[in-house]
Amino acid sequence: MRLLLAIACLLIAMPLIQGEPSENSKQRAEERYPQVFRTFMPEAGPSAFAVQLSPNLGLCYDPLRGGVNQIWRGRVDLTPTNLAKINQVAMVPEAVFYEERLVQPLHLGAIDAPVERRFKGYRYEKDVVIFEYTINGHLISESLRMTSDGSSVERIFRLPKDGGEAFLPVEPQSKSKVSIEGGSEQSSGLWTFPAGGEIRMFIRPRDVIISHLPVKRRTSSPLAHSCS
Amino acid sequence: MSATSSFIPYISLAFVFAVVPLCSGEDSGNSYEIEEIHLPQDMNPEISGVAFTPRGRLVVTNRHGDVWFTDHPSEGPWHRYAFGLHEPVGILAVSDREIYVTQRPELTRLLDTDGDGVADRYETVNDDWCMTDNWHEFTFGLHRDKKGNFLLAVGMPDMAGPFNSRYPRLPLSEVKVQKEQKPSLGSYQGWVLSISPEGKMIPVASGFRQPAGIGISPDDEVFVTDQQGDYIATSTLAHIKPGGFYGYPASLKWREDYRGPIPDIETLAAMRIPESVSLPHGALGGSPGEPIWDTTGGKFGPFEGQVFIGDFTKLISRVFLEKVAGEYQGAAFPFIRDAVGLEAIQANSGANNLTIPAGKEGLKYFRDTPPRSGTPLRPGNMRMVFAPDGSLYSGQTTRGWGKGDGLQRIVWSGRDPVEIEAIRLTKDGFDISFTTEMDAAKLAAEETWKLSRFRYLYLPGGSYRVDVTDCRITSIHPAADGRRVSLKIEALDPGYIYEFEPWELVSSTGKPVENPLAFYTLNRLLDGRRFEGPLTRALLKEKPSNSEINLTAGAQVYSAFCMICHQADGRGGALPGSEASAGSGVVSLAAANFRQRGPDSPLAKSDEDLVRIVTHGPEGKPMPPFGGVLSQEQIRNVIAYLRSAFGKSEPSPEQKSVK
Ligand code: HEC
Repeated sequence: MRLLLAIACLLIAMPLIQGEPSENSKQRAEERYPQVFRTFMPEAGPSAFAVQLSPNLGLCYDPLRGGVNQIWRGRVDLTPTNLAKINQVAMVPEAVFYEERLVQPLHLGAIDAPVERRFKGYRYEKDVVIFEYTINGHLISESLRMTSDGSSVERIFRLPKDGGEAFLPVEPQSKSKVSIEGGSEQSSGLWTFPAGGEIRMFIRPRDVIISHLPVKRRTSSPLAHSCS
Repeated sequence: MSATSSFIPYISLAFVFAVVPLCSGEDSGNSYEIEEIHLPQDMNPEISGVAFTPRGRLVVTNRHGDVWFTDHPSEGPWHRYAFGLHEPVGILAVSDREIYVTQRPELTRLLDTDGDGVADRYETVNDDWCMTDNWHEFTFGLHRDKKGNFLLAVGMPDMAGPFNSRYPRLPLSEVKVQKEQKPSLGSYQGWVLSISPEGKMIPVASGFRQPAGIGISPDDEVFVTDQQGDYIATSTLAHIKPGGFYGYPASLKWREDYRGPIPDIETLAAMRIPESVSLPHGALGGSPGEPIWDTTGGKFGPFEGQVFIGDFTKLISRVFLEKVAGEYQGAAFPFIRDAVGLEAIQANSGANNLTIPAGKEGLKYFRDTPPRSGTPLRPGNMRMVFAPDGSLYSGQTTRGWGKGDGLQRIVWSGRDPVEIEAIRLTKDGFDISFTTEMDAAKLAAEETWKLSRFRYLYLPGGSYRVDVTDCRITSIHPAADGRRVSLKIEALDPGYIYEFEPWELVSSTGKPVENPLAFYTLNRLLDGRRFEGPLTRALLKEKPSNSEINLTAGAQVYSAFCMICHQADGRGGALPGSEASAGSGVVSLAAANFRQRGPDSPLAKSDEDLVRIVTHGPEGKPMPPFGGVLSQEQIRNVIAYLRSAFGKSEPSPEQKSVK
């Protein structure tokens, strides 16, 4: 019976304590936005990103398809993917107001040029997250930020100087209005941009009425004047 | 050595240990203490990577994707350095502002460019392998060799979960190389990879099933642990050679010279590089993690230069490596095991069966556990690191397979443990050295030296131990200082694992050996001779299973495995601990009463039915299946014992003799 007692003792002695909150851990950046989570995303390639630009505005950034898969109002829920043993995709809020489906939409040199896209990472700057990747070896950065009224997404691509002209087909959206600056629309939905320039894209849900896009412009941008 | 004969000493050992009061508050006498590192409440405790920066800051990563650090592990505070990573299971801390992680999709550099203690750049160093979002696709790491190359390993997906082939990073291929259960769907799944400081990937070696632990020795050599299953008969510690194939066929198809399926197992067997050290399944865990070298200069006790390997079960093993005829081989020992007893038995079902490793060899694992007091070791010991103060940190994640996550620290008490220090091969046997002076008489006694050998086969279905035999020791030569003994063995052959079970061996002060179990993987003899025989079939016939019933053996099985629930008198009743969980809604928490009579009573069933029940567990009842733990012979014996002890009206004499 001693064996039994000993085992019972051990069971009772199992530590249940899992740590106390430490004061200074509150200094963490949890309240800061944007927040980027690499995870299992629905309708995305493997290991895509859930990006919350604010607690109430988020998007799926897919480094393999190449772009923003959806933009939603609300917050992505990572609980299913964190808790499930056999993983489940994150839960995206129903209020999706923007969707992209074209595979590798951004082309350099020609609209039918092959695209070899490599993901290079991301970085946080104030109020913005900047994704980096190469297309056929040329570095492109793509920044994502929330407009100051909190409703819309500003997306700016910085194009390489040596990659040739850029081509971007812009998919029609029923629930949002997409405006583009920095290039010209060649044919319906197909935009071109000069090498070394910027693609500036503003995505605003249609049910938000505002007279102008209240984004702080970067005056250093070479194309800021010609397109405003 | 048959399973039964090896089993007997362990029962007795269990009783020896049982009289040690495990819960006393006095000085434990443990040579190694386990301390809990308290984690902040807002940190997910599934610690999947642990490292120190060169100046001594503790950095951990967890499965939910954070990186945290603290300068004061025992009191905190902790700070979050990064978040949002995809199941990182490896971390390397270059400085307070430069940390690398292996996450599922890539090797990532996390930089804090502005020095505020929070990473602001997440740079992709390399991602030249494929992944499909399968639940089981881990990228293991992370260590760097002296040239600055990162070494990591890519695991195999698992068919139990879905694949995502939308926008794949590389072409996928479902082609099987042979009969492997886990396909290498994308390139380099099942490989060890090296990534140069400039971020260029070089595939190093293939043939891994689940290479969850990668380590670099002080001599800058790469070692990897792999996990038991199909083809990989037992878990391994392998020395990695560029271009090598280590046994799991799936990943071969990503080799440049691959020309198509290899239906012939002999061809694969000839290609396969054997592991340096086998970690016998069950006895030494089930899923090894990261191998790390004790370079503490004695701060962690007497095992300087040896390898420590955490396991998914409540176990940390220790490995002594030696070079024999130019290749590494050596001995593996348990180092710290938790007493798992009843808890493990109860958990040994379905998805939890990793808590005690499945397989007949699991038997020993949870019977001969040394007594420990104080904080017990948790499971999930997949990542470990030595701290600057010489203590061992173990990051623990069970990823939903088991219970228990967190961070523990193992500290040497300063007292010499009573352990086998090392086992070295000699030309006609083994030299066994100890961490302390041993009892001279015991050291020289024939009864002390129980030695057997076995091997594993290389087969698609994996393998239990085969060719199990006792070894005859022809001479025993203890050294004058009592710290060493030389054994001469009658049959010293390559290709076998030699199992040492020193029996009642004590130190000169009377303390028993803490872990009286060791396995020497004899790949080569000193003269370089290797195993020439078949790797795919046994040389000896298995013992017939309907050998004679042995009531004494049955009684011992009963006292070791059944009595905790069914009681010494066979009357069963409330399961231990069930009082505490009363009201939890569990259907039945009472074990069967073998003294019950009547047509519905347990012993009214046929032997055949009872064997089936004990093997598979009674349906819907909280009794574990014993099929993976006990041999059919042992099950027959225990059933015969039930009938003889409890089937009659009065307690039989045998029953009284069981404590
Ligand atoms: C963890 C506790 C536990 C352990 C350990 C355990 N049993 Fe049981 N056993 C039970 C429970 C619970 C039942 C089901 C009682 C009931 O029918 O409600 C049971 C039932 C049985 C039955 C009767 C089955 C039937 O259908 O009538 C047999 C026979 C039996 N156990 C044999 C064994 C043997 C042999 C061992 C040791 C090898 C063992 N048990 C170990 C808990 C345990």
